Parts: sequence; structure tokens; C-alpha cells
Amino acid sequence: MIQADMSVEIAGIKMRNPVMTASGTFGYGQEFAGYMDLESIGAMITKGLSLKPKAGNNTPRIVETPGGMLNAIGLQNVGVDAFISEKLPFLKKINTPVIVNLYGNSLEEYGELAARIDGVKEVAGIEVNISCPNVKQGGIVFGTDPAAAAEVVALVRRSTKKPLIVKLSPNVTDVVTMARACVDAGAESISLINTLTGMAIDLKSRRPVLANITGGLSGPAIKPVALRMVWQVAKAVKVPIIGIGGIMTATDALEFILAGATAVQVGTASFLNPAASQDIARGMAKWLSENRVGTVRELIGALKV
Amino acid sequence: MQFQSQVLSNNEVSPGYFRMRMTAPPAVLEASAGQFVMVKVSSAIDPLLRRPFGIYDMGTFVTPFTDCGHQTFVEILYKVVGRGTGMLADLHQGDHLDIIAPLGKGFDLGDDDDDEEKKVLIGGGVGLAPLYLLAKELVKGHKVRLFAGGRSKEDVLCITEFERLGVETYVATDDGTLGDQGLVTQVMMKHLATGNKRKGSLPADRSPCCVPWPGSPKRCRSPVRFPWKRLWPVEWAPVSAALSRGSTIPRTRRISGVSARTGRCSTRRSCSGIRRQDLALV
Ligand SMILES: Cc1cc2nc3c(=O)[nH]c(=O)nc-3n(C[C@H](O)[C@H](O)[C@H](O)COP(=O)(O)OP(=O)(O)OC[C@H]3O[C@@H](n4cnc5c(N)ncnc54)[C@H](O)[C@@H]3O)c2cc1C
Ligand SMILES: Cc1cc2nc3c(=O)[nH]c(=O)nc-3n(C[C@H](O)[C@H](O)[C@H](O)COP(=O)(O)O)c2cc1C
Ligand code: FES
Repeated sequence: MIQADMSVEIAGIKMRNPVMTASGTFGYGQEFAGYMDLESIGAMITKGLSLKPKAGNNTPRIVETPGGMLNAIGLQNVGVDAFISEKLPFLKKINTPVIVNLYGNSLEEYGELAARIDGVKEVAGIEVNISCPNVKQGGIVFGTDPAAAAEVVALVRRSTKKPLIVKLSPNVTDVVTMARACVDAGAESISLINTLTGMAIDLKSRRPVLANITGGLSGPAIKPVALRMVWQVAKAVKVPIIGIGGIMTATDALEFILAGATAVQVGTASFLNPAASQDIARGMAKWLSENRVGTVRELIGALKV
Repeated sequence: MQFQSQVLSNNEVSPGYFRMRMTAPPAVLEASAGQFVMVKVSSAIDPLLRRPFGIYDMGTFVTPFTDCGHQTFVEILYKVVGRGTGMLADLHQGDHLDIIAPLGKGFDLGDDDDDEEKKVLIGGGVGLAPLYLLAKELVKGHKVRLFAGGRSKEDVLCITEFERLGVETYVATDDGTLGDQGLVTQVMMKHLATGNKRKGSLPADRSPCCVPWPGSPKRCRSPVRFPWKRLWPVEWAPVSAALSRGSTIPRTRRISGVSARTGRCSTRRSCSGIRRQDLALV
């Protein structure tokens, strides 16, 4: 059987295959080294970084729901400086592009963060998170208003030469408008979707299960929504799309590629199977070979409608 | 380490409580008492997340099939409380499970240079599970006493197993159907006090305890007070485990909420501190 060509390129970042790890679900990479080959995937996206370390929201902040989970972590992270001094040295040794996910508490903070990362040569690219449903600033404030989003993206664009991905929220009326605004402001790639806002209630105590009351839904439950949004956005903008949402298997990933994604991110799946991203990448290659598809790029947006 | 495992046995040891033995790779034997396994109870997406269970026992046996030689196993002791544990209870010998183990830090026993020391273990209900492996370790060099509690006699598990190790066991149940009536902690204080007149001294300098299982806040609220300030809460904090550290709860949070300083329940929010769901991220 011939080996299929799995390589793709996103905003100038060359990847051996289209499988990336979704921010916030893969720690800083090292945590997963014992479970999988970190050089078997296309790129690693690390936990969302802010200028200062952040402790996140109160617990309980995770609850399992049918076919998914709600989280209200609230962007807990070590802060950009600790990331560079403590986490990056490990990642540097791995021959897989590292993309950092950034979020700011204010417009200026996005700019400062991007400038800070600009000088770090081990970082292959930036994913700007304007879509966290669990914090006000850095989340919904910028992620639901096209003008505010464009402002953030434009500032980041001016602050760094690194490849620039913008991650969108599904919690909007029209995701295409958001995507267009970001691309016009300088985004070289769009990743979507972040989690869908939801909540869970405990009847016995008559209280919300999450301390934060609401949280972000992820996992297989959100896949149909994510597929639809990827399909809509891929038709509307010219930049490469990264599909995210409930990808558990190679089949799921290939469906996103058909819908128009150039690459995919694996999130919640890594929680149940720490080697999920590796398994998915291998499964995709196997499917391509078995179905005599020479390159995965042939499938991008090849949905028959 | 992640591995595919086969169920070797899955028996109801008391109404609603099961003891399951599963195959495991030999490296699992490096686990220490207090560490836990994460089990994917179904290969489907529901339930989605893994369920954590303390390691009850582990070891090797010689299989009757010569080509297999030695087979390593781990055992868990679990209570059926919901969907996931319900599905586990339905498994039979030969069924397959996906397991990640060992996880967590295990019991932190501090610097254990005092060989003469007597050890006291305290556990309630299914909270006894992780204490068996600990007892097995401790009996090698210590005189071990176990105070086991439960709501009723059905909730006091595997006592004979502990006795077989040579552990001196004391039992307390809420309804008095087995052993003394009352909370295990009260019973323990009574026994220890009569054994030693001098108030303020526990025979054991530090006592690993696995307090009534997280998930029974009612019990936790009842004042578990130790005047001696010596009861040494086992830090059963699986937080250091492995995955996504970026998103875990602070590393200092303890699953057993008895404060080392005051001997009182220290966690106001909920007794578990760590909830199963958080472990998905640990
Ligand atoms: C580190 C760790 C080790 C554990 N070791 C053992 C063990 O050795 N033996 C054992 O029987 N159980 C153990 N547990 C608890 C066990 O994981 C849960 O009982 C199990 O996950 C329940 O799954 P389920 O799908 O059956 O219940 P679900 O249907 O998910 O829940 C049933 C009910 O139990 C509650 N619940 C479930 N888990 C918890 C929890 N951890 N804290 C508070 N409330 C909870 C739910 O809110 C619900 O009311 C451990 C938990 C942790 C965190
Ligand atoms: C626990 C958790 C933490 C997350 N943290 C972040 C984050 O820091 N930044 C971000 O952009 N997305 C974050 N996400 C969103 C994921 O990257 C992803 O977009 C989402 O979970 C949908 O994909 P999935 O269904 O494959 O999990 C987080 C998701 C989860 C479940
Ligand atoms: S041990 Fe549960 S609140 Fe104290």
C-alpha cells in the first residue's frame, strides 16, 4: 500500500499531518510525552497564556454531560514568562511546531503578549483566543463583536510577524461575519470552534453544578455544530481553516477536512485517551491509503453538495 | 501508562460493592499505596470520561497456561453509585477495559525512620479500598491497627483480608449492626484513649487515614476532631497525576479533608476537594 501524503501548511507553518492538539486539553505537551510520540502529530497548541499567571475559576469546574463535558476552567495558566522559561525548553527538543494560544484581559494585553512571543524563535505561530466562554475579558467581550475582534486581530498583527491564527467562538449569531472581520484585520487562518456555552443543574441541591454556573461544552456532542460552522466559514473566506469540535476518531477528522478544514484540532478526546491525537493522525493516513487518496489535500473542501 | 486489560474476576463482596481483578502489565507493580487507576468503563462515548478507583491490591500469579507464565493483576474495590460503576458491575471474566495507571502521588508517609512505630489506619466504607495495599506494606515492619467504619455491616468491607495480613481491626457502624455503634473516628478515639491514659498521646505518631469517602458531605460535617493534633492526614492528592496540568486544581488541595494542624475537616466547600470530573484533567 502506498503511503499517503499527509502534509499540510497553515499560515506558513509546515505540518507533517493535519492533526493538532487543541489548546487547554494538552497541557504544555510534556504531560503527554509518556503516552504518545509527540512527533507523530502536525502541531501542538499549548494552554491559553496570559501576561500574568492565572489560577482560574473555583471548583467544581468540570462536569460530564451526555456525549460531552462542560468546563469552566477560566484560563488557568502559568503566564507567558513562566511558559518561556519553564515549559518551552522541553518543547524545543520536540520536532513538532509549537503554536501558543494567547488571550488578553484587555486590548493592550493582546498586543503585549504578541510582542513578547514575537522574539521567541521556538514558537511557530500564534493562535489568538477571543472565544473563551468562561472569562469576560479575553473571551466573549472580543469574541462576539466583529469590530472588537477586528481591533484585537489588527493589533496583534502589528505586534508580531509570527503566523497568526484566530480562534472563534460558536456563541455568536453569525460566525461568518466574525470570520470575515478577523481575516480582513489580518488573520492568516481561522480555527473554530471553541466551546459552546452551557450549564448543568443538580436537581437534588437545586443548584448549578459548576461553581461558575455556566461552562463551555466540548466533546462529541458539539461535533455537528462545529462541522456546520467550519463548512460555512470555509466557503466564505480564503484563508485555511482549522476544524475543532468533538473529534474523537480519524473519521471525524476526515469529515472536517471534507467540510473545508485544512487541519483539525483534537481536544476532549485527549482526556479519555491521552494518545488520541496520535491515533487519529495514524488512522487518517491509513484511511487515505486504503481509499487510494494520494494526498490529504485532495479532500479539503471536497464535500459533494 | 495506558493499557488494555482483561477482567479476571468481578465479584459482589457485599451488597452493592464489587471487587474486580484485572490483568495489567508488570510495570504496574511499581505503583504505591494510595495511587489510583482510571478506567474507561465503556468504549462508547457515554459515559465519556474515565472513572477513578484506588488500587486495592496488585500482584502476580502463575497462570495455568505455561506459555503465559506470570500474570500481573490489579484489583479495585468499588461501590455502585451511578451509571459508570453500574456498567462496571455488569462486566464478566474475559471482558476488556482500557485503563490508565498508576496515577496520583500515593500516600505520603513522610520520613519513616521510626521502625518501632505502631500504625493506625482509619477508613470508612469504600474508603478502605486504598488502605489494603498500604496495610500490606506497613505490616512488614509495623504493628498495624485498622479502624473501619460504615453505615451498616454491609458497608464494612474486606475486613478478613486485613486480618489475614495480621492487622488488628476495630469496626464501627452507624447503626451498630457490626462492631461498635458510632462514627469510626469516635470509636477510634475511645479505643486509643483507653489504651493510653495520658491524654494527648496517640500510640501512633501519625495515622494514615482515608476519611469517609468523598461524596458524603454529611459525615464530613460531623466534627471529626482530634484533640491530639497528631492525626496525620494522608495526602491523597492525585493532582500531581499527569495530564493537562495547565488546567488542574491547585496542587495543595487534599482529598482527605482532615487538617493536619487542627485535626478538623478543613475543606468547607465539599469534602472531596477533588471531584472525579476534575480528574479527567489531572
Ligand atoms: C481519586 C479517586 C479514587 C477513587 N477510588 C474509588 C474506589 O477505590 N472505590 C470506589 O468505589 N470509588 C472510588 N472513587 C469514586 C468513584 O470514582 C465514583 O464513585 C465513580 O466515578 C462514580 O461513577 P458513576 O458513573 O457510577 O457515577 P455517576 O453516575 O457519575 O455519579 C453518581 C453519583 O455519585 C456522585 N459522585 C460520583 N463521583 C463522585 C466523587 N468522586 N465525589 C463526589 N461525588 C461523586 C455523583 O455526583 C452522583 O450523585 C474514587 C474517586 C476518586 C476521585
Ligand atoms: C478543559 C478545557 C480547557 C480549554 N482551554 C482552552 C484554552 O485555554 N484556550 C482555548 O482557546 N480553548 C480552550 N479550550 C477549547 C478547546 O481548545 C476546543 O476548542 C474545544 O474543547 C472543542 O474541541 P473538542 O470538542 O475536541 O474538545 C478548552 C477546552 C477544554 C475542554
Ligand atoms: S473530609 Fe470532607 S469536608 Fe472534611
